[in-house]
Amino acid sequence: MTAAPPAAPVPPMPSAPAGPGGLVEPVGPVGSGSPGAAAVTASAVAETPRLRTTARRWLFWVVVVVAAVVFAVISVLLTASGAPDAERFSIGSAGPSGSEAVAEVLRQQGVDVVAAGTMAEAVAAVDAADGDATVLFIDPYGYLDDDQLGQVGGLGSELVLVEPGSAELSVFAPAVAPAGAAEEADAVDAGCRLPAAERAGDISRPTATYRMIDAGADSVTCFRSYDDAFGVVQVPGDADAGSGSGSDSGTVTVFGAGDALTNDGVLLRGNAALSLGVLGTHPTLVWYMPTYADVAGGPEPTIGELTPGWVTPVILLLLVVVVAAGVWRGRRFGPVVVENLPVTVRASETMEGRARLYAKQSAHVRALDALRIGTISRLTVALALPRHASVVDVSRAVASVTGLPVDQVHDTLVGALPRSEADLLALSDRLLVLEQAVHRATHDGPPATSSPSG
Amino acid sequence: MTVSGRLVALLAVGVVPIVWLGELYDSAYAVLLGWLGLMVVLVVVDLVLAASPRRLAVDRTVPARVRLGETVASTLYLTNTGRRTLRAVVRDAWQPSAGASTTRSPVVIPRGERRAITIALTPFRRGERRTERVTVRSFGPLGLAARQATLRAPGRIRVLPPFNARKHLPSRLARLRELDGRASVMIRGQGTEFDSLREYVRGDDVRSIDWRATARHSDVMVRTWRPERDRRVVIVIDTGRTQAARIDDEPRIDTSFESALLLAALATRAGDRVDLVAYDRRLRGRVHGASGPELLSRMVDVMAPIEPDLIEMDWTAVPGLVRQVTTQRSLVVLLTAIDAPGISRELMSIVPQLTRNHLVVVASVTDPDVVAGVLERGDRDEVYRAAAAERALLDVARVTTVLKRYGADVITAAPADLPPALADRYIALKAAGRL
Repeated sequence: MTAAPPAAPVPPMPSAPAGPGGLVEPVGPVGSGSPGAAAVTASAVAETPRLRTTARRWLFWVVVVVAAVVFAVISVLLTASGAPDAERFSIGSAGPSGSEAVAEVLRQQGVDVVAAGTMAEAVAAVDAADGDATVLFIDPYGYLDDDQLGQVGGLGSELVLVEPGSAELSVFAPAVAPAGAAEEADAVDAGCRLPAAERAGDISRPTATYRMIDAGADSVTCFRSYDDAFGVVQVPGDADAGSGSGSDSGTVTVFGAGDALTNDGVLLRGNAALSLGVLGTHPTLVWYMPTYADVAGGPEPTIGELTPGWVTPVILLLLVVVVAAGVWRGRRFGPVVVENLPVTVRASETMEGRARLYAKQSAHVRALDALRIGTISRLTVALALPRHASVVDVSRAVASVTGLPVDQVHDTLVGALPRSEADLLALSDRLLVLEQAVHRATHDGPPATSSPSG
Repeated sequence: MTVSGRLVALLAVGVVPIVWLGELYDSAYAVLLGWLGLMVVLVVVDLVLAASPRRLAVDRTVPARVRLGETVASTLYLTNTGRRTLRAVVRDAWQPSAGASTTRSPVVIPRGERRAITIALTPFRRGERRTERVTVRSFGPLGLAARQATLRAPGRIRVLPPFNARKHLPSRLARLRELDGRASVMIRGQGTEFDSLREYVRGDDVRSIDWRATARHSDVMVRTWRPERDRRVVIVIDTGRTQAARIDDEPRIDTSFESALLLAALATRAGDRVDLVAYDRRLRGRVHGASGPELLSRMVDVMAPIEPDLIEMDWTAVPGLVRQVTTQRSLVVLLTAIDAPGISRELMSIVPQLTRNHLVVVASVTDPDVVAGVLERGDRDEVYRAAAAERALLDVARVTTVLKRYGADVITAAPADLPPALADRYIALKAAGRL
């Protein structure tokens, strides 16, 4: 007898189950009377929205994102074009530490101020002025090595070193040495016969001072701060310094009063007069601040320069490949199918839980009680005693069947009180032994394997 | 839309021209851009040339029913109503437990033609298994990119209870036949009826000789009896929360279904009328007034979608339900779980009402784990486990005792043994004429 036959038999159904990938077979053109399905020409209802619908739904957010990106790009461009040049002594900087003021004033006075960032630019500027130029040299980071410094020494007719270090001094003015910071003072007096210094009278405290270690006849020291430390020192140009395009008879001015050149400090005391006087002696001023590009031998080749040109494009291509692979594997093949799953509850969980409770509480008396009741009820059945037979009756019956002493049986079945878990285990084993003995005695056969009846 | 693995591979191949031409002409970036542009053009061309997955008519034939564990074929008919040849992968989105052999089938359909995709369904859960949609991924001629659409094409198949217990049916039917025509004294009395007269053979009880018939015939005739027919059997299946528990990896409710099916198959062959009621707090299913093969087919149909609800069984309504089915004295079989007295209190309270008019049998599954746990006492944990198992058995024994005192018959057995045990009890009751 079968449960239920399938409903109306299905026409072209292969008896063998379809293999992997299903079984595809032609059924013929529409309306050819193929069985199973009536001729259907109407397309099925599609749940996937059309491209147009999707586009309309996302239009708002696309617009929002595009607008945000455009806004961000524009604002970055605007702020980037107005980014301040914060370099100290930069003639393009109008900030407190820049030197735009000095440069502008010099330009108004007819001096051609040319900013040079590299040696090549500096040489070109000096050449353009036919060597008749003041070269202002500031190299706080020490980009140039001794050879390049020698080349600088040959530039122009006059060299102004702003706050030079000992490396520059040893090349340009070996007779001058740094003397550290100036003493605390509001102003220092000129105290020398340099025309520009005399015109200035006094200047604000110089940022660095220098001393003569080998006083020559033509050297001038101005703005004494303490002992033999001076803010400005002028020495004759070194005739041995390279083969410059300019004349070698120029002077080297060691200019410790850096503040006199900044926009911030130029107006203090006679700072303006000093800086304009020192820098304005020639029609052209080359404002040479070496940059990283001047570093000897050029910068170390980076990994980017060492790698072949195709590496970055290949990495970009691989990124695109990864994205495409993600789309290939990650695109869902239709919506997820949901199914209510049944709960899985093992019925013996309550028993296991009760056992763990017993074990946790070390409830050996209670546990033994349960074991004894079970044993006694099984023994009652095995010995065909009335259901309400007392434990004493059961003990007697068991003793008579097995030949064990009544006291011992009674002790096992009800008397002995377990004081520890070891007692519990021992008594439990004794109960089992008793049951097996009764089973052997009543069945006269192998020990019990049948399960106790529920 | 989506892309294929072929596009990914083709993109990766772009490494070759980038390295080669990049070394030759120092224009790796241009080659990269050119390659990506070429890919975009190919994808767009492929998408434009792909047949529309929406221009597809879908129809399917699915058998209405299948017995759990059996395999049936489900066919999906796809008609291409578009103008281009459709090269597609089709996903028929059956629920996982429908056990579809595959859910993805490649198919090529020229314009205006139709193809059938046949897959095998081997459901592994009882109930209603569905598919709602068919997703079509239509590739272009280059096979680089595809258009995808999901089409509505609902289908369903009802998975019936397996009725594995039917293997016990032939032996029980044979025993049932043995009851017929047995010599009268063995079973004569209430619950048996006159069957026929036959010639006396040696061994027949002389008290069963019908003297009047013997006088009419020239031979000695005896009367034979058979169990009374047209008795009523009412099977009440509890579908409450206790039936959800799994014993031997089978929910109790499935064991109840198996038992009910075997009993019904047996009883309808024996000429009795069987009614089925599945109930927790509302009527979940009912079969009334069916007989023969129709009875079983209706029963499995009713049972198929029933899953236990996580609510308490309302036993107080059961006497009313039985009264609705019949007022005649009948065999009422309650298929439920006998648990601790606290849980079974309501069951115990209504059994007297039923036993007043009917013969009541309560059938419950026992857990073989519990029974086996009683004898395992190797270490400390196992002894405590054995104690807990004894306690559980004791609880069941107490309920059983109460139910027996109220006049009900109680059968407890492991899941595999309960259906034949119930059938045997039915045959025993029948033989004893107690029905």
